[in-house]
Amino acid sequence: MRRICRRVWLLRSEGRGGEAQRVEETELAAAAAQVREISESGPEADARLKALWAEEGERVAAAMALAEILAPMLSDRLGAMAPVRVPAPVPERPEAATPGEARGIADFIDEMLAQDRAGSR
Amino acid sequence: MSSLTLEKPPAPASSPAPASFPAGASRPATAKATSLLIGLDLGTNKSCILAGPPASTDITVSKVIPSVVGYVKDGIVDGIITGNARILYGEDALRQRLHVELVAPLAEGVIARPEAARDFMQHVRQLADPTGRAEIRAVVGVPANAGEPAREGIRRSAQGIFSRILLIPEPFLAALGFRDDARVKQPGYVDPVVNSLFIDIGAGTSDLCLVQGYFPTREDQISIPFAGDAIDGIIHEELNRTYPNNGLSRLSVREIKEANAYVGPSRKPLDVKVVIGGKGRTLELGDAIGNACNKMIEKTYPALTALIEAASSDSVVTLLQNIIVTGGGSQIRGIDTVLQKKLAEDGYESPKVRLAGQDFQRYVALGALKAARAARENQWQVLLE
Repeated sequence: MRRICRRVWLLRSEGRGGEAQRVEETELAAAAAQVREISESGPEADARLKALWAEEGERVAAAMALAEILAPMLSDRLGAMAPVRVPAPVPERPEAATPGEARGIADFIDEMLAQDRAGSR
Repeated sequence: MSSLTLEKPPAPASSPAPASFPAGASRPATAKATSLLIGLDLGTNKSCILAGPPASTDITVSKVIPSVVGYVKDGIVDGIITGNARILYGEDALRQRLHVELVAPLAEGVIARPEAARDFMQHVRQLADPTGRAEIRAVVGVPANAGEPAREGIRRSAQGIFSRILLIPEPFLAALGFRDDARVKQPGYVDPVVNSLFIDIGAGTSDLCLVQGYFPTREDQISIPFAGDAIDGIIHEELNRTYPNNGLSRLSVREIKEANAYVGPSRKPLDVKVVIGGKGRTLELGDAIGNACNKMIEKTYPALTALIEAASSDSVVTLLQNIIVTGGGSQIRGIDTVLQKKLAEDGYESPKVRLAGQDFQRYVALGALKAARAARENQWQVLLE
C-alpha cells in the first residue's frame, strides 16, 4: 500500500498526472479495497489510509527537496573527482512542431531541464 | 476515479488535486496569498522586472531600470543623498554619479561583481515586494548557451533573496514574451514559438536562437560577445582619435549612440551636439557611428545564416518569414532592412526580418513571468539561505 501511494506521489511530482491517475484508479483502489476488507472497522481503515497517504506525500516531498539540494552538490563533487569525464550524449534535435500541436510552457521547461541534466552528466 | 477519499497532504503536488479530494483540502504552500512571481531580465545595462501573483495574468510591478549600483563615497555630508542612504540603485545612482562609486553588477551578460549583484537582486525584491513578506520565486533570463559558472553566479546572487529560481535562455523567453497568447489559436496568426528565429541584441551579448516548437538545443542557440557595449567602445575610441581630449564619458557615448545608431550606407554628415569643457560643440560622427554599428551586422550575419541552414527543409521557408530582432540593438536604425537585404542578396527565399517593436525592453521579462506562472512545482530550483 505504501509503495503504491509513494508511486502515485512520485508520478505527480514528475508531472505525469495521467499515469498517476491510472495507478490511483487501479492499483491503489484495489489495495485500498483489500485493506478495508481485512479491517474490522471501516472508519478506522479509512483513517489509516488517509494517514498513510499523507505520510507518503510528505516523504516524497522531502525526498524531492533533498534531491534538488544534493544533485548539484554531488554533480560538482563527482565531476571534480572523476579522472576522465565522459562526454554526455548530445540530445538529438527534436522534431519541429507541427502547427496546431498544443505544447505547454511547462513542457518546454521539462525539455530544457532534460538538456541541462544531459549536459552536466 | 478511485474509490478512495483521501485528503491531500501539504506537499509535493504540482498537479491539481484529484476530484476525490475534498474541496477544502489544504493547498500547497506555493498557492498562499503572499506568493509572488517575478520575471527578470537581468541585463548588462538595463534590467526589466515584471511581477505578479501566481494563477493570474495580472502584472503588479513593471519596471525597466539601469543595472547599476551606486555605493556612496566616504565623506559625503548629511543631506546630500536622500535619506542618507549608503547604496543607491538604477536612475538614483546615475543621478548621484558624482557622489557614488558606480558598479555594474554584470559584464557581457554575466555577473561580474557578485556583491553588487546581490545588492541589486535585493533591490529587485524590494521593488517587487515592498512589504518584504512575500515568498518570491523568480524566472531569470540568461544568455543563450550560458555556462554553469554564469548560472551559478546568478543563483548565488539570489540566495536568501528569492526562495526558488529558474534560469531560462533569454532568446527563448523573448519568443514567449513576444507571443500574443490571445491570438495563438486564431487562423493566420504565426506563433513565434512554433517557428521563428530571434536575434536578441543586448549590451553584453547578441543572442540568436531558433525557436521551432521545442525547447532550443545548444545547437539552436548562438551567443556572440559583441553587442551594445562593444559598439560604444569602438565609437569612443574613434572619438578620442578624431577629437582628442573630448572628455566624454562612456555613458555619454552610449547616449550619443542610442540617439543616432544606424547600419547600412554612410549617413554622413551626422552632426551631434555635445558639451565639452562646458562649451557646446558639434561633432560630425556619421562614419564613427555607422562603422561601429555595421560591425554588428558583420558579427551577427554569419550566425544568422548558420542557424537558418541548420533548420529543417520543411520549416525553413516559414522560418525565413519570421526573423525577429529584439533587445536594445533593435533600435539601431535600419538593422532589419539591412539584414533582410543581405539575406535576399545571398539567395534566401523571400526573407522577412522585422523588429519586435516598442516593448523590446520587456519581452524577455514578460516571457519569464509567463514561464514562472506555468512552471511545475518540481521544475523550480530551491535556493538555500
